[in-house]
Amino acid sequence: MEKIKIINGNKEYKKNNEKIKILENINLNFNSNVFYAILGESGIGKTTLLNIIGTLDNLTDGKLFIDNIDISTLKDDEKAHLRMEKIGFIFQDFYLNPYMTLEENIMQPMFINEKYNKKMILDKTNELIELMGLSHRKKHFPKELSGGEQQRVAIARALANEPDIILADEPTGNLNKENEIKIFEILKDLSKNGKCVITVSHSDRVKDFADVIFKFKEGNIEIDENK
Amino acid sequence: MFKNELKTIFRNKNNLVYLIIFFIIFIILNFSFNLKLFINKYYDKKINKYIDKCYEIAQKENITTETKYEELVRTIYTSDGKKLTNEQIQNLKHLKYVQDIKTNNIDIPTFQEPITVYCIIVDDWKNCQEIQQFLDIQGISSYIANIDKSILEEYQTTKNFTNIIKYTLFLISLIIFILCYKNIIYNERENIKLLKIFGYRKKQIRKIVLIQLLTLTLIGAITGYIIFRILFILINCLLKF
Ligand SMILES: Nc1ncnc2c1ncn2[C@@H]1O[C@H](COP(=O)(O)OP(=O)(O)OP(=O)(O)O)[C@@H](O)[C@H]1O
Ligand SMILES: [Mg+2]
Repeated sequence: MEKIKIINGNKEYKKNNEKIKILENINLNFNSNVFYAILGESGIGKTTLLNIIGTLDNLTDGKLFIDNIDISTLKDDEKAHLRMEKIGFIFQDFYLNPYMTLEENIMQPMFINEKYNKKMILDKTNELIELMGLSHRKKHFPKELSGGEQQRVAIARALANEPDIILADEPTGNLNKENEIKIFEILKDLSKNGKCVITVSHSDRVKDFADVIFKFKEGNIEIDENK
Repeated sequence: MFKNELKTIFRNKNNLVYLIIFFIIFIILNFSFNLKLFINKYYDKKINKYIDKCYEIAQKENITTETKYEELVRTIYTSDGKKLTNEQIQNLKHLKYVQDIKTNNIDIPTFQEPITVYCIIVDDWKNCQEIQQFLDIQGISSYIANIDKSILEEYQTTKNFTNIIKYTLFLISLIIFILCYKNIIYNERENIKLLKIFGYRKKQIRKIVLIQLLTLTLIGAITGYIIFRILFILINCLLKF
């Protein structure tokens, strides 16, 4: 099923009166049940693209549809609600709240979900902690966890509101080989279970897991046929 | 939602500094707003000593008057000898600080009519000047005989000075508060960014930050107030001796 569609997407930044083109007339589709990987050089615009898909940034020109909703017609609060409902984010440096325990970090997005009551929040949190194999670390703070464990907390947090779309920006950038494989396996499982997973990566190992690979080059994005 | 966010501001050791700053500011603010009280207590003591001395002298010289000694210090005398109309006396009696008005008719042989002197007794010596100003406006000349004028003047300037101190400290505190709030919000920026990513609405984020700031301020205010009260009792004890 088609989840995300970008039509004639353009993105440029202005820096000292000089325009930098990041995206130039790109057309992309992302579907459910697929694990996408986006590869490309540093500074080419991968994070920018993820932020646009995640409704944290806007296209300069063109249209973005998520579940057939034209994002450009939404107000800030409506975009926020859509993010809560449909999108889970994972970052390279985990981006956990250092002053919250593992449990509290995972709960944080759930408090604004009107579908959950207090008990459901606790149940869902426990379910996710178990799923990520972190039951013995519930009350620990992020700095007391290993990198791999922290990223699993971040994944659990991204899944908190049961989104259909997972956006991961170099999720394994700070991890060793074993942890990297583990994280890619989790993401792969998520896509098999119906989610649309889009990950940006510098690692070649992602090719072993991803279903579709996009190569990002100077404003254009093309499918890597070698896959 | 707020419980966990509140926990984080207490777990963040940086906020301890702000808590201490708030606490100290509130002690200072409490002091500056009660400065007048301390000043009044100090001058009451000074005046009381003065009355005691008068009393001693009066006893030695066997002088007695109708007025009690304690009242002398808060009595204003009219000085033009004219009789006041009933209406004027009623008006005076209804003034906020006036406790009593006594009339003395003094016969002086060379005068055709006796001179009338009114003793207006005010509730506190500190309010004498205000009543005297009122009398001036009414065209009734008067004098405060029993307190050294210099003490009254000194008291007045000190009082004005405390007002200046009060408002200056208040202003400085306000600026410090704003700076602290700005820093606390700056320290929360990562969490605010996260909340935005999770889909918290602007209003919800603002509410969370506001509750965090209010909680820190309130704790500072309460502990500051308690410590001030304790110090207040101690200072009062010291002033007694
Ligand atoms: N807010 C901004 N204002 C101006 N320029 C920006 C802004 N954000 C990003 N850029 C520029 O856009 C380009 C793309 O940035 P982006 O972060 O998307 O790259 P990236 O592909 O994710 O790189 P990396 O692999 O290093 O993370 C960079 O040249 C960057 O300097
Ligand atoms: Mg990036």
